[in-house]
Amino acid sequence: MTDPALFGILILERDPQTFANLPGLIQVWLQDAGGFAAVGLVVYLLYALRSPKDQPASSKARAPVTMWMLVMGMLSLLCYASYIAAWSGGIGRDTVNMVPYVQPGETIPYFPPQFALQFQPMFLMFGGLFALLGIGQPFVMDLFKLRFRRIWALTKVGFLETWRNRMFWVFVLFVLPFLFPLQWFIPIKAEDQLRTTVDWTSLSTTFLLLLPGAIIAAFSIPNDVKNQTIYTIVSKPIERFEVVLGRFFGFTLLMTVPLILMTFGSWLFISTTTIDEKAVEETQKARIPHRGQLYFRARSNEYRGTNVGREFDYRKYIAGSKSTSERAIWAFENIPAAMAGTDRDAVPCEYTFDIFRLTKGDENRGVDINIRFTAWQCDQLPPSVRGDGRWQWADSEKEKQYKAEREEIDRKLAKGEIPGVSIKSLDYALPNTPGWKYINDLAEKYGFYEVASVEVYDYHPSGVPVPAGLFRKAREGTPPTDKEGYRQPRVQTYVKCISDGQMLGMASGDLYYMEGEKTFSENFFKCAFGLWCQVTVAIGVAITLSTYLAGIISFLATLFIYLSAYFVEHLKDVAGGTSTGGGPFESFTRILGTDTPTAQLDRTAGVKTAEVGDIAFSWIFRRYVNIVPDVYAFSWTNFLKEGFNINFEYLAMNFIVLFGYLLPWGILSYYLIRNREVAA
Amino acid sequence: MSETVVETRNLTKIYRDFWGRKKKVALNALDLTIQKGEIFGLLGPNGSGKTTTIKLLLGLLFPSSGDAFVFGEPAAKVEKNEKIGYLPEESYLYRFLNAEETLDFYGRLFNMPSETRKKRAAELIDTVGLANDKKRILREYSKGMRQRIGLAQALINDPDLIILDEPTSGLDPLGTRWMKDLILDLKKKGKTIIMCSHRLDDVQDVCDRIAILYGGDLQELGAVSKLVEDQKRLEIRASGVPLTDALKRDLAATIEKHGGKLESFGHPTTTLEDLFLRIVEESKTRPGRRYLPPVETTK
Ligand SMILES: Nc1ncnc2c1ncn2[C@@H]1O[C@H](COP(=O)(O)OP(=O)(O)O)[C@@H](O)[C@H]1O
Ligand SMILES: [Mg+2]
Repeated sequence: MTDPALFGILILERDPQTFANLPGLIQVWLQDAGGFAAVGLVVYLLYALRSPKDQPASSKARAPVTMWMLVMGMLSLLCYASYIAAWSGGIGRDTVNMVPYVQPGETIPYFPPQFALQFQPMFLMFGGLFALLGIGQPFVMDLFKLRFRRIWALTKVGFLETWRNRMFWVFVLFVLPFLFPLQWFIPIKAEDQLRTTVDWTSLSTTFLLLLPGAIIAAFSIPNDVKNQTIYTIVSKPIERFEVVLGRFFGFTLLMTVPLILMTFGSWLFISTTTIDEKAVEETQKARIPHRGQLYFRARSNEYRGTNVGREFDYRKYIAGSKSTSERAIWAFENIPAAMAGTDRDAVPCEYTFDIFRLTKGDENRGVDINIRFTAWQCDQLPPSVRGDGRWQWADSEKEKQYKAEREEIDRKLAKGEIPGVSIKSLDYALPNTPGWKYINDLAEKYGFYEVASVEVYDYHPSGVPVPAGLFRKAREGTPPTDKEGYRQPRVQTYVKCISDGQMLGMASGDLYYMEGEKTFSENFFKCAFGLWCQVTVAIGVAITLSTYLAGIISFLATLFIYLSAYFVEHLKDVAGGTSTGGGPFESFTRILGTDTPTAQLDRTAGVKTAEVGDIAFSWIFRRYVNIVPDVYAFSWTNFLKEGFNINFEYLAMNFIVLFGYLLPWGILSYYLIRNREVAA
Repeated sequence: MSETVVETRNLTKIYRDFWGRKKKVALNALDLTIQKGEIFGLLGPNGSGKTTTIKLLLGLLFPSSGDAFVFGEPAAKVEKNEKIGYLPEESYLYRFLNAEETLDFYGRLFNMPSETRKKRAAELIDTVGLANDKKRILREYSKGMRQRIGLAQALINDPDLIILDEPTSGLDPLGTRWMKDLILDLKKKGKTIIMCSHRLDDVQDVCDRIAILYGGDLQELGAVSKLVEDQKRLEIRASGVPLTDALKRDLAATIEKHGGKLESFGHPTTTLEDLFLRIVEESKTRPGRRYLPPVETTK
């Protein structure tokens, strides 16, 4: 069949966030941000209400307490009390914050948050919501006092301050060499050329923008205080929060300029240098994959895929044999119109599988697989007889018709009776050749197409063309719903492993259809938006911290928060108490006892204490993890360098996540700067 | 009927360090009332709490106890700043902006529309005599020029209350004269002015009333003309007679005849300076000394 062409591999540790994740994300946001808001609200109310009689009018004006805040505070506390009651009573399990049980050494898969209606998560959510409404009231009221003209004035000054500073330009000069491509300095494999260049430019751009961005942001307000320039500003009728906003916008704008320049510069470089053909074919594109849901079925009802017991494996396996009934099945609920266009001949189906050899086999040969593509009108059933590996059509009459029709065409081809078509069997038909038309027509008529046998190699991306007619058929009508109310997917793809003694491993992302393709350039600039979000996060955090802390401390704290963001996946393991060898306290006990990390510890009193310590530690840690930005969500380098399109939806979600992350920081900075004695 | 522009009640400021430990009592239970149309002087040696008082009035600092009201509003409210102009002790302006940009920036902070800003900035640059230097960035300005642009900045919103912290510091005698005339001019327009200074001649020339601070305590308060008047002493001024021993003898005899005693005889000195120095001396020897407001007798 088709040559196993070289493709990019997009191995996702987790799926990008989509609009479908919004409800779940909002719930988690309300829980997390709301938790901090609740603590803030309680502290604020205690502060504002202490000895109310002798309070001077000016401190009352600075820390107003409204009925609304009190009521929201009470409601919030009520929700948290209910949560504790529900938790201790074991009512309405908290599926949102539940830490999945994982064997030592296994990684915790990332699940995007799902909206949960159980009592515990709902109490937590409403507790957070009320707390946010309470603490947010003065903030929201003061938002109405903000004036664009003032914010813009402060933005401009923040921008000009750095712009007119010679140091800034020295920095820019210093940065230029980093944009030169790496292959000028070290040799790179031809097909990896683009990957390495993309990696290098985005890494250098990130750090060359993040660091200065954080420095400028962290030092600006403290410098204003030190130089006392802030006196003349806050003695004007401005909302102090406008200073924060002005700085934030000013520096964001400021860093956007070099970001655009650097992005444009490296784009220009990439598009003008000759890149190896292999690299161009592999990655200089922006595939739009259409992904489905993976499930496993066989004759036996219980079959759900096999675990081969490899560590760090998130794949499940099907066993290879000519007579196996085991199938890995991808279900595609919807088919985008772009895949079924009448002008379209074929849609590539691409896949990357993992081969686990039970018998030695021929190392140089791959594994043979069979792939069946079906539209919903052509439902498949597993075999009913033991030892029979063949799946059947639900409509056996149709199956007979299909086979007869196809044999008839093949017979004619073999005799050369069809003018203009030179192939001897439909098995040899390729897209964009006259013979393919018959494949397409058959697929459109029956909603069925099968690749009898194709070779795959371990971890090597390859693909087959699928007639677009099949998708046209699949888009017709409405699929029926089953007894449980699940709608039948429009297209399913069945993968069978034919080679004896081999196991074929796969995860949901390992097979997809190529819906279409966009340009590498467009993708390149979309990737830069992710970088922009990261820089913006750093600026926002640094400015908030600097409203209360000294410049250097704000900078270091920002750096710390940011660096922990890069280790956050590991942090989450520690927070969940699931990293190998337990949390830090247990690890310490192990070190003292010179145990290996996975040995079962005797449950002495010391070990128990260590475990309790770990639980407390992990609780504190989880709170910390909550304030760490999700930088992974803003990183599109993998998409870019492997040549996969970055959806606009993903970028829109980036923007929403960015806003959601910065909002609590904004509220914090509002309170901090308002209660800061700028002249003390 | 005069209206109160500034009122402080028992206003106290204690500077504390990061951990909340007491560092310095900079202002101790200050009670002041300043009426519309006055030029009020805060007088005191360095470190006596003048600037602290002003910062408290502007809401740059928060009182440790007591209260400050400006235009009847607590000092922490930003709305009151609409009618205030403030010239800081040193020109706390952005050095990378030029004069025009500076005024435009502060005009924007008052949310003034573009045309008003431009008109006002041009007028003020003329008033403070910087027309030739308006395109230069402030980094290149001399202290006196910065003081001028600082004043222009303070007047950008045509304020009703103008607070000047050491307005004449860094100005040459001509500049000082100009500044004082400008202050008197503002008074004529009905503005209220609070200025603080340790330069006595300035205060004596322009202020209607003064408060003398020392070590954070209010020592004296009253009209300048009243304060410098010494009730136990009598001043005789004459002109056209030479300073001779004969005149001195005659005067002493006359005064003795009326039961008095001639203390000094000579050319007059700056009396305010005398007063100031005397108060500072007295405060040093009697640390608990405080100004007590006169007991009200009417009603
Ligand atoms: N930020 C501060 N922290 C601690 N002490 C201060 C601070 N600002 C001023 N002081 C002290 O408070 C006292 C009054 O200062 P200030 O009001 O500036 O005096 P001045 O009358 O010269 O304007 C001085 O002793 C000064 O050292
Ligand atoms: Mg001072």
